[in-house]
Amino acid sequence: MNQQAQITDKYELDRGIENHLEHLKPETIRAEIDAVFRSETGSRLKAYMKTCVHCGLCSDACHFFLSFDRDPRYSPAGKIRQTLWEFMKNIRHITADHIRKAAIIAYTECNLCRRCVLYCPFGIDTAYMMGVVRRICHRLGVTPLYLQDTAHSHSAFMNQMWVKEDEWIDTIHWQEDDARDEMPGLRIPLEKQGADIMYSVIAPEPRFQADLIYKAAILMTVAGVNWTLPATPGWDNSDMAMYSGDDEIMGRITRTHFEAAERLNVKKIVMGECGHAFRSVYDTGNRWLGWTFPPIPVIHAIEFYYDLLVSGKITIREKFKDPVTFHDPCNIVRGRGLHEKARYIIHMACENFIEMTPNREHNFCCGAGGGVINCGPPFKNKRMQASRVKADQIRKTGAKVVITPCHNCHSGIDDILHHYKIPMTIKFMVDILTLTMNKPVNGTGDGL
Amino acid sequence: MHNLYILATGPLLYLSFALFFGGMFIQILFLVIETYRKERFMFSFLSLSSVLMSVAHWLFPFGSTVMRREKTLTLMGFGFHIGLFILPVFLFDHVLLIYESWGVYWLTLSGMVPDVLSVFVLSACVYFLFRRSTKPEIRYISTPIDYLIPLLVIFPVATGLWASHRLPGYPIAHITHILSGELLLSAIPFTRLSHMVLGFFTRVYTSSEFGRTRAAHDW
Amino acid sequence: MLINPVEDWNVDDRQENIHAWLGDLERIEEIQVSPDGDKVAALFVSADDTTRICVNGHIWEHDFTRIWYPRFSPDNRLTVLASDGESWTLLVEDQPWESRFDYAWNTVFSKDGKHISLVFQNQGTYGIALNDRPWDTVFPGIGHMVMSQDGSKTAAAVQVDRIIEGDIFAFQKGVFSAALDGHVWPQNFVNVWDPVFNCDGTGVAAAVRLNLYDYTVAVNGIFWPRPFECVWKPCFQPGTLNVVAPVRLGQRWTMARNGDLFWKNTYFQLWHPEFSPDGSRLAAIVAPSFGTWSISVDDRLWNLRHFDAITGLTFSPEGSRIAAVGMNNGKQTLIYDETSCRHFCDRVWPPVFSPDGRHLAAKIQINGRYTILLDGTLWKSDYETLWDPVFDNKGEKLMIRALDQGVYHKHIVALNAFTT
Ligand code: SF4
Ligand code: SF4
Repeated sequence: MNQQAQITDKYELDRGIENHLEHLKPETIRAEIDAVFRSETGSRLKAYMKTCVHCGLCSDACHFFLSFDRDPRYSPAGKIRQTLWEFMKNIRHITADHIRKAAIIAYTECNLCRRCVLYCPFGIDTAYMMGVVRRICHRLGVTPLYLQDTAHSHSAFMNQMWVKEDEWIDTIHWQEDDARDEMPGLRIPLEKQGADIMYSVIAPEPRFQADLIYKAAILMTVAGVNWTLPATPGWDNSDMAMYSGDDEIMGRITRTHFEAAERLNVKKIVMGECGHAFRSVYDTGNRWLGWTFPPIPVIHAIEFYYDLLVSGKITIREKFKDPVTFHDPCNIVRGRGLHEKARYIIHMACENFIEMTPNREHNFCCGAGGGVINCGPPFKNKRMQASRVKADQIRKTGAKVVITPCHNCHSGIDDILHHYKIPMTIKFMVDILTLTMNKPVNGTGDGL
Repeated sequence: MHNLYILATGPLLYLSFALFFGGMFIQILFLVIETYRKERFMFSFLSLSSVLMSVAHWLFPFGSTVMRREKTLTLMGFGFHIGLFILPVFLFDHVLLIYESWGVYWLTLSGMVPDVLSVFVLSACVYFLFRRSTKPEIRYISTPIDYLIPLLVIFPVATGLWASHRLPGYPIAHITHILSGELLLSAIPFTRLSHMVLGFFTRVYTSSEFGRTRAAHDW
Repeated sequence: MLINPVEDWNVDDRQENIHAWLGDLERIEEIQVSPDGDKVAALFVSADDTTRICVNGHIWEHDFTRIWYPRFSPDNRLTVLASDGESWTLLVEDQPWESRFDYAWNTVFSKDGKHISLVFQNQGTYGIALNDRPWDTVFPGIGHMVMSQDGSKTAAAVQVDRIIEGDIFAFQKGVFSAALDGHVWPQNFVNVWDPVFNCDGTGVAAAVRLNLYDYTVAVNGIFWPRPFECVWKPCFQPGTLNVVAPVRLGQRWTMARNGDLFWKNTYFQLWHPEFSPDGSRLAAIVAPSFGTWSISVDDRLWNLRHFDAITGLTFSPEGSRIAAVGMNNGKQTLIYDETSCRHFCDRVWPPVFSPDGRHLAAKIQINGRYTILLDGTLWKSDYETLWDPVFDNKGEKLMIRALDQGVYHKHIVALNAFTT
C-alpha cells in the first residue's frame, strides 16, 4: 500500500502535466469530460462500465499490480475506479488534482497492453478505457512532456524524433555505403515507383539504430525482394499521438504513411520490428480514417521473415548457438497473433530456445509499451519497479539472449536488464537472421 | 396475509416480469441503437466463428486460463450461476404455478437436487462476500451495492429452502420468498446483475476483435 | 495549348536493348523512360561502388560519386541528384547546376518542364532553389514544397524559429508558417501543412493548426476565423480566389469554402477535393459511412459505394468525366462514370484521359504482368515493366512504353487496335 506513496514522493514534477493544471477550471474539466462522453464514446464504454462486476479477476493479469506487491490501486479495475468511475459519478466535482492523478495513471501506470482483457470473464477492455482517459487528458492539455514532444514532432515532420527529410535520406545513403562493405553493389532503393514492397521503419532507426536499416537491406537483397523506401514523410510508421490521445494527429500520421505507399504504388507495406506502429496502422489509425482494414496490406517484419524462410528465399547457414528466449510483444501477439510465426523463425535460426512463462498471448508486457517509455525520465523509476515480474520472468529462463521484434520492448527490456542486473543481451529478429543466414558474395557472415 | 399472497403472485409478479423483460429489452435496444449511431464501425468487425470459439471457452468450467488459475472461484461461480438459472426455472412448485396459470409445463427437478443446488448457491454467496471483503484488490473496487447483491440472492434462495421444508414459520418464509424473488428479478436491469445479458455483448465484440482482427485467443 | 511530350506520332516500335548496352554493368536499377518515350535511363553501381547513370547506352561522365533520383522533366530532360561526397547539386542532362548544397532533394518540375526546383539544406538551414537560384531566406526547417503551375514560384511550410527538442511550450506558441519564394507569412502557427498555389501562382493556401485542438485554413497568411476539429489539404477553385477544404465537425467531415460550410452532407471521411479544370465541378473521395468508400461530386454521392478504399481521383481535361482507382478485398479496379471496370487487377495506376476526355487508359498489373487498359479493354500484350500510357492530342493514338526481356519498346498504337 505504501508503495504508491513512495512513488508519488519520487514523482518529479512533469512540466507537461503540471503546467496546464494551474489554469484548469472545474467548468473546463467538466465540459471536456462531458464532450468526450457525449460525442466520442458510446455504448461500448457504457457497457464496459455497467457490466464490470468488480470481481477483481483482471488484477492478476496486470504486471503493475503484481510488481507493486498487489497494491489494489494498480489493478486494472482499480485504475478505472480512480479515473473513469470518478469522472462518471462525480463529474461536477472533478478538480485539477483528479486530472493530475488520472493523467499519471493513464499515461504511466498502464501500458495499454490488453493482457487484462484475457482475464476478464466479460472481455472488458481496460486498455480502451485508459485510452479514453488519455483522450480526456489530451483535450485538457495535461500530457507528460516527453510524450507530448513526440506528438509535436509527429505533427511537424511526420516522424517521432524530429528527423528532417535530408537526415533520413542521408542515413539511407550512409547505410547503403556500410552495407556495401559486406555486399558490394548493394542498393537501398529510395522512391522506386511500383516496387512490390514499401519498407517502413520508426524514427529511432535513423536516429540511433541505423544498422537495422542496413540489416534489412541485406535481407531484402539476399531474398531478391523488389522493395523501396519513401524519401518523403511517410517513411516513419510510428505513432505516439495514438498514445497521447491526439487522435487527429494520429490519423494524419497514418494517412501520410499510407499515402506514401499509394504514391509509390506498392503491393504491400512491410514494417520493421515495431509493435505499437503495427497497432497504429493496422488497428487504430486506419479506423479513425475510415478504413476497416489497411487500404494497402501491411505486414509486420515477423510475418515477412516467416514468408521468406518458408518460401526458401532466405536459408539458414548455421544456427545461433547461445541459448535464447523470446519476448512476445503485446501489439503483434495479442494484437496480431504472430507468436507461432515468431517461434518458427527462432526454431529455424537458433539451436537452443527456452520459453518464458507465461508466453504467447499471455506474456507480460515489457513495461515500456503504450507510450509509457516515451513519458521519459520522470517516470523511469516507476517503470522499472513495475517491471519486476518481467525481470523475474526473463531471469528464470537462464537464457543468454532475449529476442524481441519490437522497438519499445527492446528499449524496455534493455532498461530492465540493466536495472535488475540480469546478464543477458537483447536482439532483434533481424540481428539473428543476418547473423545466421546464407549470404552470397563475400558475405563474411559476421554481420553484427 | 392471504391478500398479500394474492398481491405477490398476481400484480407484483407481473410487475417484476415486466420490469425484468422490459428493462432488459430497453437496455439492449438503447445499446444497439447507440452503437449504430455512434460506433457503427464495431459491426464491421463482428465474426461469428471467433465468438463461438471464445464463448465455448468461457462458458465451460476451466475453459479459460483465468478459470484454471482461480479454481475455487470457478467452481463456486459455475455452481452459483447454474443454480441461479436452474432453480427458478425448473423447480416443481414454480412449474406448477405456471401450469396452473397458462397450462404449459416442462421438466422439473426432483429429489435432493433443489436442496443441493440451493445450498450450493447460498454457500457461493457467502464465499463471494468473503472474497470481496477479504481480498484488498476486490475490496478496493467494491461499492455498497456489490455487497448487497449477494444478499439479494441469499434471501429468495434461503427462504425458498425454508418454505419447501415447511420449517416453523414457513408461511412467512414463503411470502418473503416470493417477494424477494420478485425484487431480485426486477433489480437485474438496474444493477450490475445486468451483466447476465450485457456480458454477452461485451464478449461478442471482444472475441470478434481478438479472433478476427488480431488472430489471437482471448481466453 | 495542349502540351504533348511526343513530337512524332508516326514512329512505331522504337527499341533499346538494355541487356546489350548493359554489358558488364551487372546491376541495373530504377529504369526511367522519358515522357516522349525516346530515352531510357538506368542507374547502376560500378565496380568502385559509385552510382552512375546510363542513358540510351551512353554513360554520363562526371566526377560525382553518388547519384540518385533520376527523373525526366516533362520536356524530356533527364535530371539526377548528385554528390561528390562533399556537397550536392542537380545534374540536368549531365550538366550540374552552379549551386552547391550540403544536401539537395525532392526535384519538382513545372507542367511544361521548363522550370525545376528542389529543396536544399545548407549548414542546418533549409530553403528551396528554383532554376539554380536558391531562396534568399533560409529556415530552420521545411516541408511540403510546391511549385506554381507556370513554374515561376515556389512555396513551402517552414519552421520559422528554432526550438530545442522537448520545449513543448515554445512549440505550442507556434513556430511554423508558410513561405512563398522565401517570403514568410506574417503569422506563425502550431502547424502548417500542405500549402497549395492558386492557378496563376499569386496565392497560397494551407491547412494550419492554431493550437493543439483548433484547425483551419490560412490563405496568404490570413486564417479562416472558424476553427474545426481537423482539416485536410485545401484546394483553390480554378480561375477564382475561392478556397475549399475538407473540415471535420462533430466527428464528421464536410466541405468548407472560404471558411463557411459549403456542402450540406457530412461524411465519415472526405479528402482529395479536386476541381474540374474549368472550376465548375468539385469532386472528392469520401466514405459516407465507416469502411465504405465512394466519390462525391458537388456533394452528390456516386451510386457506386462498396469500396474498401479509393485513390487516384482524376478529372478529364474538359471536365466532364471522373475516374479513380477502387480497392476491394486486396484487388484494384478502375472506376469511372459511376461504374466499375470488370477487370480486377493486382494494381492500377492513376487513370489517364485523352485530351478530349473521350478515352480513358491506365497502366495495370494482372497476375504479376503489366498491361494497358483502354476504355475497359485490355491490350493484347503484357510486359515485365510498363510506364503510364500517353495519348496524342487528337485522341486517336496511344503510346505504350514497355520493357520485356531486357528490351525496351516504344509502341505507337491506334486506339482501334485495342478492339480489333
Ligand atoms: S492494459 Fe496491461 S498495463 Fe493496462 S491495466 Fe491491463 S494489464 Fe495492466
Ligand atoms: S475482471 Fe472484468 S468484470 Fe472483473 S473487475 Fe476486472 S474488468 Fe471488472
